[in-house]
Amino acid sequence: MSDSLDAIYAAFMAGIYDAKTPEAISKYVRADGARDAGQLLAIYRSSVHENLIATLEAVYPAVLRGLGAQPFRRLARDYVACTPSTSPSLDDYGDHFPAYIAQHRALSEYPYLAGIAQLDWTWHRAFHAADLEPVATETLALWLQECSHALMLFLPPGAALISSKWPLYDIWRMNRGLIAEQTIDLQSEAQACLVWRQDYDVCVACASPCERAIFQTSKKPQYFGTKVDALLSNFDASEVVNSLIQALQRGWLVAEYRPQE
Amino acid sequence: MPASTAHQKALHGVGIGLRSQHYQVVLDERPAVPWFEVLIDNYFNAGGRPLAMLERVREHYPITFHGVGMNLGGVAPLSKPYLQRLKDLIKRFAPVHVSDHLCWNNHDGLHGNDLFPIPYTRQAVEHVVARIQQVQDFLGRPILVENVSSYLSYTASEYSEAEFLAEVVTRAGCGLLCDVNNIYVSAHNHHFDPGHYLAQLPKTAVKEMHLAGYEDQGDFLLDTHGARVQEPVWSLYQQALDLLGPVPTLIEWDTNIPAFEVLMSEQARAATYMEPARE
Repeated sequence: MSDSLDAIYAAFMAGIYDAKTPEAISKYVRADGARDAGQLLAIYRSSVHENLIATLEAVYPAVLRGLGAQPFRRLARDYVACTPSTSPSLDDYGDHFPAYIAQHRALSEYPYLAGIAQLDWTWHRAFHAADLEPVATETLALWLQECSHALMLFLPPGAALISSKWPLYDIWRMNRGLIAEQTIDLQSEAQACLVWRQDYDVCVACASPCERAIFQTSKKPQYFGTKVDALLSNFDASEVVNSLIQALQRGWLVAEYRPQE
Repeated sequence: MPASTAHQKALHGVGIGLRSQHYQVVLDERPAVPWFEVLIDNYFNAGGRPLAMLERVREHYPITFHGVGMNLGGVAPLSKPYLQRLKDLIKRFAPVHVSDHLCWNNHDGLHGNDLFPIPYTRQAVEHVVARIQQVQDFLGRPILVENVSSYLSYTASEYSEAEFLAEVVTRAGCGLLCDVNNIYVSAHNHHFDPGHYLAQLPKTAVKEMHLAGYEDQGDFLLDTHGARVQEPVWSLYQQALDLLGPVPTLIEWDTNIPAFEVLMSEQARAATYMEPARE
């Protein structure tokens, strides 16, 4: 609609995300005696940027603790400066932060940090993922005993698998304050992490090779028997069945009773 | 309570803004608070604990929805997904009031996630009135619009803020959420008389008031909603009550969230101001 509102808002928003262009706003904003238009707009720019930095601090607690408050703040400030918000919801902000960290030369001495960030982000998304009506433990036990062939298996909303070349699970847990501070040998075994939600609590666990394979083959719903058959070429039958049952009990894999026609 | 009639129930007394840090104390102790306000944009996700907690709080208290993302003053088309999600939540939780701010916050795909002031022009009146009516038609109920704190004014403005607000509210047929702290902050920053501002508001349209804290930055006041209500705002609140009567009032605290007891003490203080106005 209105060209003038459009022009004013365009100049305003340019000043919010590009500190080099506040002069465009001086045509539209009245200086107040103490401050010129650019300085007045800077109050808003500071508020927006601080809000986005605070959002990153909240979403990436393991990265924050791992780097320390001031280095994290510098990193977040630089990220915000080149990554405007594009959503009305702050819960969507920061999705590219792991990729930004991965490409950041100054962070090359922390090669695992992008994985830590990815795990923080995945935790955040799982926290807000859609709810799923849980299957009662007794019902699940009965299904597994009586009619496993009729169980369709699929991943619940928010479930994710984060792979890494590093001992990701241990580093992440230490930086979330879940285990004591310790020296972690970066040459120790690589760890992949499963993330899912049990009721309203987000769970993170280290995934075995068999669990990784189950997860990877569960991106499309599959019958219990079909999945077991598909995994038998790489794992023995008892490991596959036990891992599947455990996955269902823990909740990162869910079952629906759906008899085949 | 059926959603279709929920908004017809009146609020009374002094409510508190519900924050995630206080879910448990509210559910465990059931404090004597007449109602809670919810920052509804925080509940737009598909599921999870916040929505579950809100369900439980709603079982015991009336709630109101307060939004920050409607972009009523913006030029981008109103977001249909946003409004649809809001409508779904209204149906689910039956809030007594639904409110948002008289401001803009996104442009050309970029979001500030903040409350930016509108130029107070005739053109903006027409524009904002049409958008509020569009929202009300879509939601099937009136909304309240809130005055924001501001730190700059536009050369194009043709109205004072109070005149603009009165014109928009009257023509759009919406209610007014009068944020007393925001009036005080803007009055200080733009050198106008906050009492005169209050006197210009369409009295019958004022359905709710907000109280919050600001921070003095030396040469301007910053609306942080992160501190106790300041003394000059209490004085202005007294003026507002004298003028408008015992309008339901909210203690709002958005940053540096304190213990719930602190909010309760602010709530109790506001109630002592309101009590004589109810007699």
